[in-house]
Amino acid sequence: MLTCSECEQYISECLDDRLAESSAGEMHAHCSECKKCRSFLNALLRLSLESRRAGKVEVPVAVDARVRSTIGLSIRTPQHQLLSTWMRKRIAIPIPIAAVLAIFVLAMGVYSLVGPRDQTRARVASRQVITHVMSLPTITIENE
Amino acid sequence: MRRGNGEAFGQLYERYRSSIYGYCLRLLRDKHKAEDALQEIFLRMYHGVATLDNQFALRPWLFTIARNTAFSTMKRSKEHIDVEEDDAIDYESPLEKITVGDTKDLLGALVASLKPTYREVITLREYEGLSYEEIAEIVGVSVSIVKARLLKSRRALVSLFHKTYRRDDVC
Repeated sequence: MLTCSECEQYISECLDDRLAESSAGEMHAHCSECKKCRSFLNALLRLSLESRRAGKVEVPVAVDARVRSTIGLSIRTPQHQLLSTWMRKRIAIPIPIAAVLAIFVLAMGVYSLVGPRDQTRARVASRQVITHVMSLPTITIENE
Repeated sequence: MRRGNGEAFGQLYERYRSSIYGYCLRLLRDKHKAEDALQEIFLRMYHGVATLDNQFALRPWLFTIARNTAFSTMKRSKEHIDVEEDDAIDYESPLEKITVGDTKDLLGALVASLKPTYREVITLREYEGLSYEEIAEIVGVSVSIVKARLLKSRRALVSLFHKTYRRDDVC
């Protein structure tokens, strides 16, 4: 029969997945009869659960920036990281479309610079011609 | 990374900063000391990464640096560190202040009441999920000593747990 001290050792190893199957059987048999060891097991299970619930400890932003600066890493706050991830996602997918759009925007730019001015010039020129023609004295051609 | 690739070291920092900070915080029980230790640890890692031969031993290597730095900090603060301690509980710790309502991390609060040699093994096992072999490598002791210290830590934790909370909650 297992002593309580041995059972506690088994419980500790069992929680770490280090206990042989045969020993696990002995441990369960002992715990089913011993309230003290059952209580020990329950308390450790609860504490183990607490450690999982506690989760990761986040490094404060200011400390993170200080460490990065010390070790020569570029300072990337969570906000920076979020932004760069967002930008990577946005840019990575539509590169061919972005290229077409860039060409289109460029063409529009050139057009806005050159196109309308020529059109205006042409319009002004045609207006001038019309005005000039209208201002000409009427010539009557008489047939002989 | 061994050649000092900044990007690889950046990834290492991203991956381990929370674990190392959490480890320091639990070991040192002081936010400011843990923050300073974190900076010192990654600086040491940055300079020592070239000496790293086996990349599979990365985690124990990182935690060994963290441990040495944290223990140096404790020595500087003249905190009592005795490996051959019989009792795992640090009776000078502020356990009396712990109540159910004021802590999110029940285990953390109880772990803070242990002596450093026990605090470290239980932190590495419970929070970081390191194997007995990895813990033995970090602490510089045999696997059987790790097992014994874990058992002693757990006995102390359960004892503190029962002292702090009503037994009815557990059984």
